[in-house]
Amino acid sequence: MDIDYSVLKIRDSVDIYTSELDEEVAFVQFYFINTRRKIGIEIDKRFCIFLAKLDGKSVLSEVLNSSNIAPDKEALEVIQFLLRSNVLVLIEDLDEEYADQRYSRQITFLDDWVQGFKGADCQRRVSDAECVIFGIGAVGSNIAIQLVRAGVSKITLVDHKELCLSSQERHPYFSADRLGDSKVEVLKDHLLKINRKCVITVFAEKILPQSDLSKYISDTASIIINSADEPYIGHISIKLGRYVWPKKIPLYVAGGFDAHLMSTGDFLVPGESCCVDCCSDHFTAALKDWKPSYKVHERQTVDGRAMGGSGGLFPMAFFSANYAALLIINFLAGGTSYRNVLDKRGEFSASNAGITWTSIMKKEACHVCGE
Amino acid sequence: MSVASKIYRLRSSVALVRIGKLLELFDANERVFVRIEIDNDSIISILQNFDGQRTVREVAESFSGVDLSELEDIVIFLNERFFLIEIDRAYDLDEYARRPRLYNHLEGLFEKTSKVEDSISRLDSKKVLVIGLGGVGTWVVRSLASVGVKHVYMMDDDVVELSNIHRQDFYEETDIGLLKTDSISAHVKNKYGYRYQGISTKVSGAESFRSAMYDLIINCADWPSVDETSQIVSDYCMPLGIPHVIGGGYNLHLTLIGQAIIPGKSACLTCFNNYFTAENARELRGVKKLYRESRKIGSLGAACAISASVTALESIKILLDVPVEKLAITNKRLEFNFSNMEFSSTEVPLDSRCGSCGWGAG
Repeated sequence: MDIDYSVLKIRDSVDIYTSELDEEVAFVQFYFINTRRKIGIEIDKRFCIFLAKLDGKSVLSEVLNSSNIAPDKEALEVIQFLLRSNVLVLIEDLDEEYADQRYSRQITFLDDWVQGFKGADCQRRVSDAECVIFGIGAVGSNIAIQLVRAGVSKITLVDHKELCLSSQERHPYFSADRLGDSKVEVLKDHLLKINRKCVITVFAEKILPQSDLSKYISDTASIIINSADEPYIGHISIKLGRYVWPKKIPLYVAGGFDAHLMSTGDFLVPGESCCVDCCSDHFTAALKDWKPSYKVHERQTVDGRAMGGSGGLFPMAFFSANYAALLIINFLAGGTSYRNVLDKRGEFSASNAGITWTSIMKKEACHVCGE
Repeated sequence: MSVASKIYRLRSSVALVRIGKLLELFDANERVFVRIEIDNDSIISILQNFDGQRTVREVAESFSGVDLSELEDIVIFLNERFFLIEIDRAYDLDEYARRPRLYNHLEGLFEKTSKVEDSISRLDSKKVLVIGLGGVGTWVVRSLASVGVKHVYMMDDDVVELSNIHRQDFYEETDIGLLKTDSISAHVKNKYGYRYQGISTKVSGAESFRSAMYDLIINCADWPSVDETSQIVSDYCMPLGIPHVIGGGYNLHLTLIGQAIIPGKSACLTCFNNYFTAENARELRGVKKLYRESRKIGSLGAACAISASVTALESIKILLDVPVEKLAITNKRLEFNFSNMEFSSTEVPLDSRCGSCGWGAG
């Protein structure tokens, strides 16, 4: 670092609190407001003046000089420490980050959120990712939209259904003039308007027990997302999970359907979490004595829909979709936050605004994920 | 009218489970359950006979050995908890077919079909103002359009920029340079057929609200700061008794979920400010915060959208006249932690001495 040329700035996402300990020493706390990470140091009080004077314009030697700090080895070590801790940033690095104007705010976020990597590198990983989404209803489509907005440049969409009138209630890509068209085509056009460079492959097909998944999933896929909830999300998840696990490709089974209108979903990451069979068997065992019976009154249906049935509103499915999208982006960017929710499933309650978690137990000596 | 001659329907989102001597009713929409001890083995079948056609008396008569007054007691108990809905009016089926999920959702919050339908028809005449069309506001507008809120006003004087696209809804590459209000109005008109009105000014004071009497104001604006815009909204809304939801989910407040305020019934902005000023004073005794200008911190679409989804759901409930005790982010500051993906909250009670709350009570 050349102190006569280097220009430093405190990152915009860091709050700084100072308190005096004695005549010479202050306690300085750095608080990262997006991630709530805190670092505290005890330091010569002159550094408080130094921090206040770092305006992102003056070269380092000037700021040191005006704060009465000699540019010695000790001072430079403190500055290096603050750079490493992501409190300070060199303006030249910042310029490199902001060169990508479209994702500048997101790169700043990733820089905070994913420790140990530069934001621009995280963004590159997200942009290079290849995602395959099965089922593009209210949840799957919102995940696709958030991933494309975030810069994912290669997406495969699989869904056999057509756009219908009641899609308007929950599908943000709904368009009245596209009724009857295949959903994957309508969503593809919507995504291309967000980013015309995105490479989108579509299959207007239904996944069946005998379907050959290699047709949809290439071995280079970064992640598979399942939100196909009909006939039952579990069946397709098991088929997908067994196929991708040996290939070390993670599977995100999205929530936000039926009795789980605002759930977080299950993130199955080879080598880190339980496998799809353990996950499925866990819930089968947990619900073994819980045999619910539902009643649909035949004379109380409208267009095949049971009156008084599923009541998931757009913002509910949207919550599940974004919870999933956040974890997926964290994973793709190289972060570790997603690890906090492996092997558990959460249900957000719309009436008390909190998540209730259920832990998922691996089977003892599972031959897939036991090692 | 006696309960015996009323008609009820067991909602199809309700699961019935027999666990020994207990009967569990689980509402899959609301994820709430009750258990009642009952020794009649045909109770599931009896309850499933509430099909929205027959009266309680007719259901009782179709089973031998069922005591009508006991059944009435069970019906009252389950109706109060929204497992059985009273059919006092048949829905307009064309309307139902258009927004089935909204009807179904409301059946978990009201005890009669007439109340469900009234709530929806009131919704159709309500006016909502959304201030700020960024990372949160755009998704809130999308949510309102999706459930069919017809009268939405949008206040923002910005134009769409390339750097908005990664995290804000509606905007497409070809919208860059357009006024945000014009871009969204056009997309909503095309997709949903509603005419949402744009107001292309910044929120600056009470005069910003001149045109319409709103039923709800949602603040998602951060210029000059979230605190200042929230104060302007609160100052305007409190004396008029207008429910409002104040900022969260963007710029310096990315982790925060906006608070819903029902004047006179839940803690107001002043209550919140008083509470947190006192809290911060305890924590920050002798501590100074280093002041810095013009900060633009990072942001991510899915992150803003977590806040937007909770804000939007609460706003929709307020518009549907859901009782205040069923609201989630009143009297509460909710935060989302991106490091561990968890929510945390602080309860903030209504303080009628705050100087602001007394207004809305009347």
